[in-house]
Amino acid sequence: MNLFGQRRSNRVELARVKSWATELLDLGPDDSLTANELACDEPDCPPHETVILLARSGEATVQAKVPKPAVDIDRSDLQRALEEKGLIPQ
Amino acid sequence: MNLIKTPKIPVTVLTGFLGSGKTTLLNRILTEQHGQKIAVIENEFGEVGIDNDLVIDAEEEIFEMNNGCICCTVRGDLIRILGQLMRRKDRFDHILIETTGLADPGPVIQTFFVDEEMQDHLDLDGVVTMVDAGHILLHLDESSEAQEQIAFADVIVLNKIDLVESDQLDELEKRIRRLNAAARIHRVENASVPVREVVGVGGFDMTRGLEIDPDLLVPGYPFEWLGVYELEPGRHSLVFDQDPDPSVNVLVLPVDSATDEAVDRRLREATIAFSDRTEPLGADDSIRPDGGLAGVALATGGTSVAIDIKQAGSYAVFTEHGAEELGLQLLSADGQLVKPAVDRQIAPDHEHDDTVSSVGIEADGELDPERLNEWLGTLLREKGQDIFRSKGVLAIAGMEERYVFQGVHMLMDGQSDRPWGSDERTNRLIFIGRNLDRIELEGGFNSCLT
Repeated sequence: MNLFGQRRSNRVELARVKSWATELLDLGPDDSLTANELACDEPDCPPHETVILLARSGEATVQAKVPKPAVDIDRSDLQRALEEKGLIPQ
Repeated sequence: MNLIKTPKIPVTVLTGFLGSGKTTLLNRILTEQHGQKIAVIENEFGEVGIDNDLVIDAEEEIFEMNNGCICCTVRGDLIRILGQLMRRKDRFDHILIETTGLADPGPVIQTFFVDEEMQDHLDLDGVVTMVDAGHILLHLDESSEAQEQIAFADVIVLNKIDLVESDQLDELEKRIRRLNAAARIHRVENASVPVREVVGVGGFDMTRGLEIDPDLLVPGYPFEWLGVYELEPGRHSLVFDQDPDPSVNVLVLPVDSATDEAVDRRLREATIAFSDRTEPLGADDSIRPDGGLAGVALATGGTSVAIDIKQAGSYAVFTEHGAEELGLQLLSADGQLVKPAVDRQIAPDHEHDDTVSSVGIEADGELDPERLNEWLGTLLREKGQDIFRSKGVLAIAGMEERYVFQGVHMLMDGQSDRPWGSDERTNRLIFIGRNLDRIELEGGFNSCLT
């Protein structure tokens, strides 16, 4: 956590990640997604993680994560993370 | 580029035990003419009797996000429902989420912190907790959920006050205040709180002032009693008639005079001395002024220990427990009872052992940003599970504006606010949570002051 460091909005990058996820997961109008970037300076944690929660209509919520800040994520990173969670076929 | 900013939809979270009057309030909100279209997300056991297409049933789905050391529990069903509501947000002005009676409000609130897009469209307005004045004491004694629902609240509606005597109500309100020193409390019958007092409360609006019950800003001390005595040179005795614990910590400090002001000047020193290691007092040992913290073993049937005074003067005796609880008396060298000139109970006797409490801190001065960052970061990482809510208005060294922050468990957000201008640069913050250690929090905060 850095309360007073230079805070950069990452909403554009998170919106991009969500739009790729929407395509890759073929989401319908009743499905929802959240995307959030978490930072942690503990030695055992990745410094930045982008976490996606997928809340499909009628299904339990699932989480997928990419151990990178949203700005560094490309479509293939996200695809791999969703494949690893079995959310899309490999 | 879209230059017209869409107004955000405020969201109110309504909590309260079964029977507290949530449904009565919801039914009123849905039927009263208040000029607002309010969408209600009702819990699966809800009993709202209104046929209204803006009432949505939610099946509570708790989802635990575990990412490294940040642990955050959210409501999966709300992500779905709010996502759907955002697509038809032109149809209502406000969203009200009712939780189940036994729910911890934490996951509902944290759901709003996990997505920036959601924050762009929705504005978490506040947590309203309905309390049944007739039954809440029982619930507080038996359930941690009741304590947590009060702890999370921005507004507490003390309902069914007609079932309770007014002195009991005062006592109840006092206990609620100890759990949550920052919430507004409304006393009502039949859930008849005005709608404007429960929607649009701005509880999560960081730019609003921070209202803390002044009683909760009193610093915490590790001793429960102090007495100031005028003593002549000689060997006096401290007599303990009671033994509430096997031993009790005692400190004696000289003070300039037998007055409140003089002893106030030594409170900080006494607090620090109480955090030192206790020296157990041997059978032939005596307590000496400025001799450090003495651990007195209390025997059944009474204990007497000597205080050696070399110079006539005023001396403050600080004890870990109250003088009454210890049956404490001071006898002079010739066996006469000496009455204290200052006799002060520091911590009121707590009738209830609530694990949830509020710690409010108010201090002038400026904070070192690096130290503050380190302290708050570590505090929330290590104790965030137990800190339900935190809020603060801070004066940061080198920053002209007020810095405002708020957090829910481990998630925290802060921003600079308006300039201090001619206002005194006073830091005000509050932590509401479980097993909070006031001394530790104050110590951590003080270490950040420049």
